[in-house]
Amino acid sequence: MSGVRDPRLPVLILSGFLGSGKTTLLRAALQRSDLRRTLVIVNEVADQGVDDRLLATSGEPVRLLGNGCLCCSADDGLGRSLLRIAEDEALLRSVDRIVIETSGLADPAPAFAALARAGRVSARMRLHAIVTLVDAMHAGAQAGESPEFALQLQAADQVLVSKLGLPGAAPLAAVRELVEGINPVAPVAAADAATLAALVHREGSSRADRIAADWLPAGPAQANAGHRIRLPGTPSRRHDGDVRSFCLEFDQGVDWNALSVWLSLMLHVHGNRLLRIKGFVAVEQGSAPVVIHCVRHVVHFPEHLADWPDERRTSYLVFIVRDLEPEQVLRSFLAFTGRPGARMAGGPAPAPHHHPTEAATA
Amino acid sequence: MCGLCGLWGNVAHWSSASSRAVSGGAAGGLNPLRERALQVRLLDRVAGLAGAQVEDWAGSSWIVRGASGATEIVDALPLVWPALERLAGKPIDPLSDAVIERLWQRQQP
Repeated sequence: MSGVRDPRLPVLILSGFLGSGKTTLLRAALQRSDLRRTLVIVNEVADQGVDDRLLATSGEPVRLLGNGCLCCSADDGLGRSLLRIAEDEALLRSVDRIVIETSGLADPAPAFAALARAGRVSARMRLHAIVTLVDAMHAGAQAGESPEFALQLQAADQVLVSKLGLPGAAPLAAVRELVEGINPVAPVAAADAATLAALVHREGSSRADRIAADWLPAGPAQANAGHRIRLPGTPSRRHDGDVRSFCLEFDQGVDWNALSVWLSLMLHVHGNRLLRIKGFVAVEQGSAPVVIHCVRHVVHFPEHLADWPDERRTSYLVFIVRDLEPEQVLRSFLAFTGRPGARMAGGPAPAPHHHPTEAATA
Repeated sequence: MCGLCGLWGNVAHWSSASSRAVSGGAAGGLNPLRERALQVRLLDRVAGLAGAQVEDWAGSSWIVRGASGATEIVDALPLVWPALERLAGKPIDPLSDAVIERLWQRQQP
């Protein structure tokens, strides 16, 4: 992305089920010299977190939240911790990034919410990516037994798979299929320290631009091209509902006031079904985009970018939904915003060079 | 930080940012009060689908009024919707065909 570099500290949220190897992976990554100036925030169930001691041996600065599980009471604890960090100028100068390792039993949404609140924290830190680690040995059982497993995957920008190749482990392709049934847009890769380090460094890994690059047609959008609808691919079906993804694309700027009214009502009525919304939207024709980023009910405070991340300069919103009809979401959006120039694109998975079939043009 | 300079009220909520704020000043054609008026107009139109009304209150809160005249004052956009449900006695589903079609009809000149 061109323009002024964002001065805020990037925050990577590392999620994953108990025993998936988050700490082992993070400790290995922190051995790398390019991750030296990383502040790790560990949320651990026990008062004396084992994870904290393991990480402390790496010599990195560590802040321990030992006061319970993130999914119930540690939300406030994490928020306070982030606030203390945001107000500690000396500490901020000593680090280049923050990694929050969530509890294995936690839904990562509260950590996202702690970052999303406008104010001193969001003025000094920004979400970089949510990475979820999946255990290839136990993913199948966890998927069936624990609701947190799905919550962690739904929130993920990137999924890493650990313990591949061990006896009893599922192959990567099988884990990928499982993940795509829960989160059709997050890339899935084998977990290793270099991959995690690359994610930490890769700018834009939490953005929807890579998703849109896979889904949207190559080349610039045609202005006033009318109302094209791209039907989503075959929806993935699991026991907990019909999860699918799609992308709304806009030729024109979107009225922010209408968007906020529509989005707030959608989240109020259908928040539990709107698993993720990510995208770039120009609120004024020709202006640089605003980043929209939602995890279920929680909306990150909107932020504008200095410039578009690519030459396409197209506004879009990527949705992951459960039990919602993409066509109806588009109709509703158009009714609230009165914008005729939206198109819908979608696909079951962000496979390289894959573009969904255009189903209808009107 | 652009997000903090264009807030309407004292609630630092995502929905409280004006388009001038979220666009970093690029959306410079309308002042925040004018934008506020446009947003309230849309809210009132949606509330009308349930027989309710929404009005601005001092540029920082919203007055939600049911058909009986009962009112609630809320200070964040997302709080308009539960107040509306309480006063109108029914939710407004943005995905329902009836809501979509009536909004389209109201947008016709």
